[in-house]
Amino acid sequence: MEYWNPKAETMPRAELEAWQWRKLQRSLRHARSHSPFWRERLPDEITSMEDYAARVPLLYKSDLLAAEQQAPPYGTWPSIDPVRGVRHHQTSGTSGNPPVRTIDTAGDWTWSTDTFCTSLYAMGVRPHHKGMVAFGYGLFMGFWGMHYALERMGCTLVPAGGLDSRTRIQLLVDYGIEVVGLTPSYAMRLIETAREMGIDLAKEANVKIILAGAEPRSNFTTRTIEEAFGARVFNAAGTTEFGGVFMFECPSRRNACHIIEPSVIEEVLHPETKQPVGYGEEGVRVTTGLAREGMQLFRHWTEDLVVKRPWSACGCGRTWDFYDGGIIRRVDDMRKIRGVSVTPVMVEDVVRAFDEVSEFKTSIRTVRGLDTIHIDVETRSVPGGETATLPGRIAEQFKREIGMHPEVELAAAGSLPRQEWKAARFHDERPLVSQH
Amino acid sequence: MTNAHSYLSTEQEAQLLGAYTDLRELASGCEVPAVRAAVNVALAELRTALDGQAVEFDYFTA
Repeated sequence: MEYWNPKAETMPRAELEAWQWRKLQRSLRHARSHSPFWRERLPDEITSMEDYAARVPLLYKSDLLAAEQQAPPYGTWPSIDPVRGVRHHQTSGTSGNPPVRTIDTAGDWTWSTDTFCTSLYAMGVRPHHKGMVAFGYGLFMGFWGMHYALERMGCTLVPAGGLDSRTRIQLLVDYGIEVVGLTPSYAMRLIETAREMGIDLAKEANVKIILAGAEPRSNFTTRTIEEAFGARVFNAAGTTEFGGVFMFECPSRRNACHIIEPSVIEEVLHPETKQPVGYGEEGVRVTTGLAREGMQLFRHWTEDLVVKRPWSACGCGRTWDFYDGGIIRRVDDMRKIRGVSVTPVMVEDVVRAFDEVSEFKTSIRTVRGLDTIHIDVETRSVPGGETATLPGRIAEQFKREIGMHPEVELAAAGSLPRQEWKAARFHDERPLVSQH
Repeated sequence: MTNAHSYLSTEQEAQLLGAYTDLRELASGCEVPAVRAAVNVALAELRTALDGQAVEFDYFTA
């Protein structure tokens, strides 16, 4: 096993935790001195990690947005004069909410890139590789770090931000690109496009490592991407609020996503009681950043549901704990439909298992007073596939696995939206009063 | 094969920290825009390298 930063990745656990505590103390000092927002929120003289968790209030997105509104665009949150910033990014601001805006110094940006380097090196990326980021990067922070990380590691980068799917596939084939970064949803789109072009990616391209990040995915989707590309798919995730990658999937253990703990302290709390849960129990990830200078984060309630396991359960030698399966889902992704809890990944697992499905869309509707799941599916021809019976077969399988009967309907080819960025998971068309 | 024990020697660590300290001093006094920009970028890179080796220093610069 080789590591990007051998010392930081393998140091004894007690040393790592002591180091985190010292870093936290420096971060708190910096925040109190330079950020009006944090000066108001942070208690004085925090004496230990336990004291920190007990006395520092949880930070919600609404807190950041309120701080932003006090002096747009960045508000009272930054711990630097924004004039020192070299990069502006912001969240997508969907759901009618204003975006969270961030500004980073050169030092912050270099650290952020390094979190990608840590992840990519663990996945097996080396300087002789050629890489492509198949993502239209812009205001959103996603995948910018991978672009810079590939350069920093000495790889040859083929920039593909503004290209369409067909051109990206042609580049993959023509240049024998070995490393690709994209979202799982978009990987499925590329597979479909390659089929339309008559290209067998597993045979004609040379992709070995795929970083498929930024959204939860089903195991079935991961397997489909791996088979179609003939490559290993790795998970990784970061957030705009944190400013870098906080976890990456280990090659030694499928679904073990190590937390980059020198850069972050990750608590896991019960979604309702907000008390700590133990290893192996599901809870919401709460983040404290230890490296970013400009936009600091203390106890950020992320809404991401995770299951943490101790480092020793993975055999790679890293002393960093890991999230089993990465981000399992978002708290706000779960819908109760006639008493049954349903998440987008559960639906995806059922629908993607049918080879004839090329794309699908899930809507939740109220029909004659009853909440109902409606699934539109686009099909493609496969040997032995029977399109006419597909809706019935999907509905039966759905009932067996999830415990409720959905409406399934065939959609015209090319009529459903394809996403490059985070796929719209559920289209909840119910009146607002009955949602969740 | 592993590089798990590929740590910096004490001398290398001192060299890295010394480079950071020297460049920081240069950045604060240098008025040549091109040199100052290059030094600031180098400082950012060195800060990350030092942190990756668990060399402790207060890298918040403001």
